[in-house]
Amino acid sequence: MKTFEIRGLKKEFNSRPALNGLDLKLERGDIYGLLGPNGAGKTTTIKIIAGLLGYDTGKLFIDKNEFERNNLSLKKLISYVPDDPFIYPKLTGEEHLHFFADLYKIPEEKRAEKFDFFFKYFEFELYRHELTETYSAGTRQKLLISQAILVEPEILLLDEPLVSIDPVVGRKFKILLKELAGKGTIIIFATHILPLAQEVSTKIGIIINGKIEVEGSMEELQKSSKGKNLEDFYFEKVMEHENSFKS
Amino acid sequence: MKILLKVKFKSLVNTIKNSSSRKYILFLLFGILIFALLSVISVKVFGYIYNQSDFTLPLKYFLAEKLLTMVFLTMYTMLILSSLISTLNIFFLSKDLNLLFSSPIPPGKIFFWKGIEVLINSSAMVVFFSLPVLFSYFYYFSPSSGNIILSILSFLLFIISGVLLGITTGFIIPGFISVKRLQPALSVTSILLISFVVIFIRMLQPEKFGNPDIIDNVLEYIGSFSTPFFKHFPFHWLSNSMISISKGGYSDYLNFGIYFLILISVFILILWYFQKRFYFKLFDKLKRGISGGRKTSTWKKRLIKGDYGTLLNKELKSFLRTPEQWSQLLVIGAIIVVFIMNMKVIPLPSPQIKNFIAYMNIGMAAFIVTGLNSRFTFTSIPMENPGIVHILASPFDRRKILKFKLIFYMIPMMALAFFLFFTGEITLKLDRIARISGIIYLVPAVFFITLMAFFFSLRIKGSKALSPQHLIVSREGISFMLWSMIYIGLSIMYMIRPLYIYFFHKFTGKEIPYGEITLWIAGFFLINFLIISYFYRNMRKEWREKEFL
Repeated sequence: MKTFEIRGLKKEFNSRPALNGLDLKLERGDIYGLLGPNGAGKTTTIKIIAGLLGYDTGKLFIDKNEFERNNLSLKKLISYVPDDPFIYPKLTGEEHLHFFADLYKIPEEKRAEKFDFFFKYFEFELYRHELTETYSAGTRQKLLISQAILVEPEILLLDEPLVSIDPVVGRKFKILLKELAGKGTIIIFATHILPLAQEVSTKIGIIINGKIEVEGSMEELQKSSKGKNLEDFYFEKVMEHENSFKS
Repeated sequence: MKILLKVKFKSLVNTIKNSSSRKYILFLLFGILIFALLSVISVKVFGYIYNQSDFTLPLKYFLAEKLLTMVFLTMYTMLILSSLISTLNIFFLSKDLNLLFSSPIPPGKIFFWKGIEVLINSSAMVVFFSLPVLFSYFYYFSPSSGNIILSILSFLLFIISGVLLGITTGFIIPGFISVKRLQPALSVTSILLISFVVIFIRMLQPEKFGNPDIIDNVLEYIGSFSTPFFKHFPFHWLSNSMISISKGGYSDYLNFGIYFLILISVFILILWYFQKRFYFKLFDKLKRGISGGRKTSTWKKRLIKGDYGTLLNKELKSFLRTPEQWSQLLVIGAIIVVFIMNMKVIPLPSPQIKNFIAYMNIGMAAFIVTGLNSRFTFTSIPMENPGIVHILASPFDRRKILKFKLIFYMIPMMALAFFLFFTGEITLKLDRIARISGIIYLVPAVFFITLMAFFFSLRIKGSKALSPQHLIVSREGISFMLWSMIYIGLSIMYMIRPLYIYFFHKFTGKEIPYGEITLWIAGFFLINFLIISYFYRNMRKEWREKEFL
């Protein structure tokens, strides 16, 4: 897979526009940080790519193939970490990974090594055989991130990935993201944590009212904002838009 | 204190405002229906005892008292269990506790209001179901308004004492076990007890109370039931105080009132002491969390391989590790036992009645299947929220999930329906036509009802995690029950026709028109095929297009 593209994506919820002609083009190895105020359309965009929501108009392409909502061969390329860290409460951590590996048809013989790696790398080996209902929010998030990376996706979708994660594991996670991107995975993540976006993204997009208003690499954004840091730049853009909306 | 009341009131008002009126009308209609049914049964039973000319007045009071004791025994058990579970939820697990205890409201006041919340939550249904019994009794045995007021006063003391006993027990138990571990264990225990009460009451064979032919045996039987041990319990005090005032024995009434007041005071004192000494310790203990116990994880697909094996593994592990879920099978067990006992005691004066009962038995089996579908099948997909997004975002075929769910719930429903049907059939030894018509009826009916449960559950919007209780009383849940009832009613009426044709010709000695009977049965299959196709197509469409917000 070389490119992933979204063209003119529109989506309404009860006549209220959530996405308003969203365009996006990413290439192998891109890490795309999707920023924006609450309700701007970040989660909706990610859920549409994950196939959890339909859309009214627009097109999604993987390379030059149009990506349809329930196309299973294309869905094999994608894995997703939702913003709500819910997992089946009556499965243990390891069983949950087995279940997920089954869904992606990962051969049994390949699993043990991978599982060992994730439980150790994200430091939750102790909880491996505990029911996930006893996990803290952070441990649940570690399991969700593990399951998503386990399947070696071509496109990794992350909605608020670092919520509840401690700084040490957070750093390990960022290293892993960069490694994955180095191998060619396209990573799209929605976040409110601006330093995370600044640190790992190769591209940043600010989505406001269902449309990407500003987009570019960190260097490009800094150039266009005359050297401002991301937080100031983000604040300026959002306020600019709000003021124009009011007037 | 006012602010706590205001929060609860506002929450209630907002819940009502934000829900559709249709749901409340349906819910109200359903409530009225159950209430009416209970009223009719209560009026019939008390009226029967009261109007028996063979019975002397003391005997009538005696029988009424035993009946009341039985009812109040059940109510009291339900009250204790319900308040015990509410106590654990409201005093220990409720999410607003952290906020409340970090606020400047004195802990004593919070404790008091939480107690009131338990009282209302756990007693509302018991009071609701008691009303028809109480007023039927008042109507026949205690019609004066003064007596009614005094009886209601005793009834309120009875409710308060039961709730306080439940709260007190709810405070003792967490001292020994973590509340999070305790809750599933309690659900199992409570369901076991409820099942036991259901069977116990049935074993008392209340229908014999009204049969003058066996009255000597009944007295002997009641004598064994009226053990001195029961005199120490509030359900006995309540039934006896109500009988006392009906007979004009106000001093006895006063004695029972004092018993209630002493019991309530003792509970209040114990709870006051608990609140001062132990409540926060227990609350802190809970915050330590739970871990440990499990040593390994297994993921071998033992029954089926492949994609369906994956789903079966997940479904079975989740089901078996959720005691609240599987323990409800015990209730089904209790229902089946009562069902078989009912079949055995049905009077069968003529073959026509036998076949009629057998025929109604088919409807009863369908009704039980509907109830179980409402609890298990209907809630199955929405209860997986929001975890189901992991499957739906994966390359797993969506259609397979629905097919699997359908098969997973259809097989036990079909098996149960046939078990109930054949139990009746073996007990009653039916005619061949009744047996065949039962089989013909149940296959499409169970299939359709189970299908409808999925159809309505897919119409529930959103992907928030909801409890089964919440789902069953949702607009879609009530719609499923109502449409199922309509279907059962209409289909039973339709299938009477071929049976009628058969028996009419048989008893009049005419040649049986098998062609016509076959046509009616074929019509039944055709109609069912059409509605099943319609619902199946729409269900698949709903599933394909379902959005997970």
